[in-house]
Amino acid sequence: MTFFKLFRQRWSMMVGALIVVALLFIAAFGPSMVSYKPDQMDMSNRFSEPTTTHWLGTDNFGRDLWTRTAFGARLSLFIALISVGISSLLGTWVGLSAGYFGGWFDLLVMRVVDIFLGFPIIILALALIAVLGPGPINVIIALIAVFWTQYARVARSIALAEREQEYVKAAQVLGASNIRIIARHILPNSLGPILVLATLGLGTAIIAESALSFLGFGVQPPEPSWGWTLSYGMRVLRNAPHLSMVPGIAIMITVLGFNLMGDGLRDYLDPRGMTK
Amino acid sequence: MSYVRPQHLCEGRDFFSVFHMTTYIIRRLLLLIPTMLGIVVIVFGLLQIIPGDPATALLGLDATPEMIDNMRRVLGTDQPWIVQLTKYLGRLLQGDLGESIFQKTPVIEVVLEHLPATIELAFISLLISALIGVPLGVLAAVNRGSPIDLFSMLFAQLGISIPVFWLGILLMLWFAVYLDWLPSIGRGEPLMDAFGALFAGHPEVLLDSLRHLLLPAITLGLNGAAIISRIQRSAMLEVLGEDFIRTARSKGLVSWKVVIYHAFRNSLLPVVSVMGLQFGVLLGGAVLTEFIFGWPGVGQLAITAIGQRDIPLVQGVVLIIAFLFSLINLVVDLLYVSIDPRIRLE
Repeated sequence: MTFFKLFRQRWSMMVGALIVVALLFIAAFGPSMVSYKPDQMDMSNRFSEPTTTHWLGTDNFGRDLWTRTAFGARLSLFIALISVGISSLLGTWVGLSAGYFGGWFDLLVMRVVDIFLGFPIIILALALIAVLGPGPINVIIALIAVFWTQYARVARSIALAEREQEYVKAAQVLGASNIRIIARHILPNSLGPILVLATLGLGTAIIAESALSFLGFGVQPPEPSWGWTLSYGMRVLRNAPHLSMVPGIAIMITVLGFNLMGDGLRDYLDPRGMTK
Repeated sequence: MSYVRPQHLCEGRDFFSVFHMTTYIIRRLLLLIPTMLGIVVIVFGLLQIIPGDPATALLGLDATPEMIDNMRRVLGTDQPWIVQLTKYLGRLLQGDLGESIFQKTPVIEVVLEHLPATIELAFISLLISALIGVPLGVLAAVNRGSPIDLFSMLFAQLGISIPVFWLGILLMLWFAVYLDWLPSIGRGEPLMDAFGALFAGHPEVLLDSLRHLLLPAITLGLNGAAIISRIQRSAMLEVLGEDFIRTARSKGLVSWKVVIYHAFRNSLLPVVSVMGLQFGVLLGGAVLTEFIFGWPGVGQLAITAIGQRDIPLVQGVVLIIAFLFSLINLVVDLLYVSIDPRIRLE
C-alpha cells in the first residue's frame, strides 16, 4: 500500500500521527532552534508580539514564548505519558485479573471502580491535589487515581469474554499457571482496545494537567507549563492576547493529534466502527 | 397518513414488566448504598493522606501549639482513624458535614448556598448542548457524506479537543473584550427570580441574567454539543439502516416523516443516556468555567477552599458533587430502561 493510499483511507490516524510526531520533534529540538533559555528574561522586551527574533512573542518577563512552549510540550507530554502509562498498566492488570478470576475478587474490584467512577474526573483530581499539594508528581498521582478505572473496566470485560474461549480452556488443561494465561493469552487480546483508550487518554491527560496548572494547582511557575501561561494570559487578555493564544493553540493541537490518532486506531482495529 | 410505530415500542406495560421494573429499581437503589459508602470513605480518606500531621499542614509553620491542638480537635484527628470514620459517618447521617475552617460556618450551608448557581449553569449548558448537538447529528446522518456531514464531524472533533478553559478565554476575548456585547464575569439574578421579575413587569432583570449566563453556558456546553452530535449521528445512521425504515419508505411515506417519526424517535435512546451522563460531567466541568467567568457556584467555592486548604469544605463540596453525580447516573439508567423495553432487566 502506498503512503498516499494509506493516507486517503486512514486520514484521521495519519493526520493525528503527523501532529504527534511534529509535537515530539518540537519537544525534542524546539528549544535548540533558538538561542534562548526558558527562564531567560529580557525586561526591555516584555509582552512583545511575535517578531523575527521572538517567533511567538514574549511574556511578562520578556521570556521567549517559543522556547517556553517547546519546554512546556516536554513537561505536558512527560506528565501525560507517565500518568497514562502507569494507569493503563495498573488498570489493565487489575481488570484482567478481576475478569479472569471472577468471584468475590471481581465483585470487590468492580465496586471500587464504581466508587471511583462516582466522582467527576476533575473533582477527584482536584480533591487529591488539595490534600497532597500542587506540583508535577502530585498531578501524576492524581491523574493515575482518576484514570486507572477506565482501563480496568475495559480489560475486565475482555477477560470475561476470553476466559470462556477454547484456547484458554486448553491452556488450563495443559497446566499453565493463571498468571501465564493472563499474560500470554488474554493480555494480547486486550491490547488493541487498551491502546485506543490510552491514545485517547493522552489527550485527556494533557487537558487535565493543563487544567490543574491553569487553576494554579498543577505545575508551578517558573516552570514553563502551558496551563499556567494560559492562566496568566487570561489576566492580561486585553493588552497581550497572544499570551493566551499560544498555549491555548498548543494544547488544542496536541489534544486533537491524540484524539485523531485514537479514533483512527479504533477504526483500524475495529473496521465495523468505520460505518459510524 | 398515519405511521406504524415499530413493534418493540408498543410492547406492553403488563404486570410482569412493572414488577420487574420495581425490583430493578429497588436493586439499583440498594446498590447505591455501598457506592455512596465508598465515596464517603474516599472523601474521609482525603484527610488521612495529607502528608504528616493534618493540623500542622493546614495551619503552616507559624502556628502555636495551642492552635494546632485546637485544629486537631476541629478536624477530629486527635483520635484513631476508625473512631474518626465512625463519628464522620454518624454526623453525615444527621446532615452535618463539619464546619468550614475559614468561613466558620457549617459546610452544608456554604455548599447549598452555592449549589443553585452551578445547577443553573449546568442545566442551561446541557440545553445548549442538546439544541446544537441533536439537530447537527440528525442533519449530518441524513445528509451523509455531504458538506454538512463533514462540518459536523469537524465540529465534533474540534469541540472534543478544545480545552474548556481556553474556549472560555476565546469567547471572553471576542464577545466581552473586543465587541463588548456581554459581561465577562459575574452572575445576574438567579434565573428563577429573574422569571419572577419578568412576570412582575421587569424584563430587564431576565435579560441581564441571560447576558451573564450566555458566555459561561456556551463555554461549558460546546464540548457536550460535540459529544451529543457524534452520538446522535451514529445512532441515527444505525437506525436509518434498519428494516422498518425501508418498510416506511417503501410504503411511500414522505422522507421527512420517515426521518422524524421513525428514525429520530428511535435514535434518541443513546442520546438521552449520553445527555444524562453529560449533566453529571457538566457539574464537574463547571469548576473551570466558574473560575474563568467568576460564576459563584460550587466550582468556584472548591477552588477557593483548595487555595485556603480548607479541607472540611473541600470534602463537603466533593461529597455533595459525587452524590449528585451518582444519583444522576442512577436516574439516567432507570430512565433508559423505562423507555426501552428491549433492555432486559437482568
